[in-house]
Amino acid sequence: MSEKLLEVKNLRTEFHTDKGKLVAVNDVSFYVGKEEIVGLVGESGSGKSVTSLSVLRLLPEQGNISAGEVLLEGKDLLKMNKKDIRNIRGGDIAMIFQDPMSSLNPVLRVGEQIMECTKLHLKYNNSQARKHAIDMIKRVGIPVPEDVMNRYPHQLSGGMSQRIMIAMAMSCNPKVLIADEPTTALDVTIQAQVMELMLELKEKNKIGILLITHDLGVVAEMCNRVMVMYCGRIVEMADVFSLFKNPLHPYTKGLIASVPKIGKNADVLPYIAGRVPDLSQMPKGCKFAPRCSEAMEKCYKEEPKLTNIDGNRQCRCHLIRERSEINE
Amino acid sequence: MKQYVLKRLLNIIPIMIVVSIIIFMFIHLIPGDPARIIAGQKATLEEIEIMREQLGLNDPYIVQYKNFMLGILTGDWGNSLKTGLPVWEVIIPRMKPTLILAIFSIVWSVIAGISIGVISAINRGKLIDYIVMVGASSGISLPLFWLGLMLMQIFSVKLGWFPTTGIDSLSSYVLPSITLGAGITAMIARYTRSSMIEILKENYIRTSRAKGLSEFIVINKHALRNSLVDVITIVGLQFGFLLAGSVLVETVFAIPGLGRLLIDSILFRDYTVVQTVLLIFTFQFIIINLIVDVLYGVANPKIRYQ
Repeated sequence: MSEKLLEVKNLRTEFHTDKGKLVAVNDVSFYVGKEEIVGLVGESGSGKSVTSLSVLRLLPEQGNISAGEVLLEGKDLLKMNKKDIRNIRGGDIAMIFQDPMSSLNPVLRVGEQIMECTKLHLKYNNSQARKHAIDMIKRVGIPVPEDVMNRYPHQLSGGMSQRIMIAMAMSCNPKVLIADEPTTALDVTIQAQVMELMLELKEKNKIGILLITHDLGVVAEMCNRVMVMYCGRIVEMADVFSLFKNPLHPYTKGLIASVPKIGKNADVLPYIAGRVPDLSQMPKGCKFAPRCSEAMEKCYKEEPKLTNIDGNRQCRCHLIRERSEINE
Repeated sequence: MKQYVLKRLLNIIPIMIVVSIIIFMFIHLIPGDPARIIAGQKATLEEIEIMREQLGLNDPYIVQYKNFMLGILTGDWGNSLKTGLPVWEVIIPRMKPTLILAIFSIVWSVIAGISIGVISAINRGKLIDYIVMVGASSGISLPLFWLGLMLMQIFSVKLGWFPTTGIDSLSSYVLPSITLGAGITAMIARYTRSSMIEILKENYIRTSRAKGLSEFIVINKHALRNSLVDVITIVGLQFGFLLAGSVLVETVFAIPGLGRLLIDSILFRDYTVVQTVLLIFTFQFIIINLIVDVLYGVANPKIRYQ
């Protein structure tokens, strides 16, 4: 197992809203190793994005991290003062976002936006930063980088924008890249190119990537390990092969079953009935019980704990616990 | 960009034609007969009739309008009915005070308005935000002449810091500029605030924070540049308010500017002066809007690269 670059321990993130205090992320722990891509999967509203924003303390005003630790090579980011965390942002940990078109500032030239990072973190002067930015644009596979430097974001396509975002994120040689649904807003062919680029960067720069997505295809393609999130909790964690081969949690099974498969002539595409409960109206026991086809009486009363299985897998389900107890 | 400016410049022509028609009609619609005023109170009906003929008031409106426009285009804007001097000789000395007043007012209200708006936006929901916004609402609703008189009472009469009236030195312009700019400052502040609040929620602001930029740079570089695109529009529109306000402020502070001249000329039915001042005001407004349009293009690359 590779060394732990980024480790999140017992993270708890709350939102203060009109409906009162809502727990968006509850007791989430995971780590990202060197040269490793860790997937964070779940439906919309499962808390994946909040988890990723919590790492860099980029939550909106109402959000608040109430417990836990976020360790980058052992240093707790949650205990840092504002200046130190700013040095981490864009420096050791960079981030790219779901909608690249709206993630670039519309009134600033692309070059300026990339140069800003190296000027800040690597203390480059104008010409150094310019040279580096051109180099980065070249590396993410955009032809004529000098020309692109002077363009404004509205003159770029979605795929180009995401490449620019990646160039920007990678410009200060981060150790960890957090990618929040980086391919969701892109065309399928562009998706493949961006994923290829990320894999390449992982190899070359030996970075760890936390990849947030709801697309299991992307996970299967790219990740080493996967975490499945539901209602702000991790419900299953496994290496990518075990997860697809033998999903343990009923939610994971449902997710995998609902991916359309070519060749299987099913009349109805399987899906998970119901929807993610509202954070203000959480069921009492297992949060997935109301939608679970295998739910027992116990599931409605008592929330299952995240249990270790076979040493490197984790699952949060009463069924698993009973099975493993039987095995023993 | 050049094409864009050229297109805007060509747009001025039809606007000025329409405005000239409106001003021409306005002059003929308001009660009172210029011929009677020029001829004097003791003139006989015959004399008045001769005067009407001389002034061309008996011609069909189309011919009158043609003569009016020809006069403007050839530089013959007529003589003031009151003083008999060419209108330009009456108007030009009046332009400087109004210009200084307008520039002072707009400069301070843009700087103050944007700063107040930004401070308010980043402190949204806190005490300072409420205080500033209550101030801004008052700024918008206070009648100009009342504010002017209050300022004069406090700072000129009681404290003696500034002269009460007249234009002896630049310090004479301080109170009038504050009075004239107050409403505009408040308007710009409110607009900047709401625009900044929206922009601070944008994804690219999150990106700029994720890069590790300081809050100062995030706000003043990334957010404010975007907000200016919206605010510039409002500043342009406020100029109309400024011109109207200058009439009031010049009256309150006894500044011999264009606004005062307009009022005096209307009272005296000095039509030639009235129409010239109105044309100048309109032209000013159009030019300011042109400048605003160009600035809008500078601030917003989407417009610039169409």
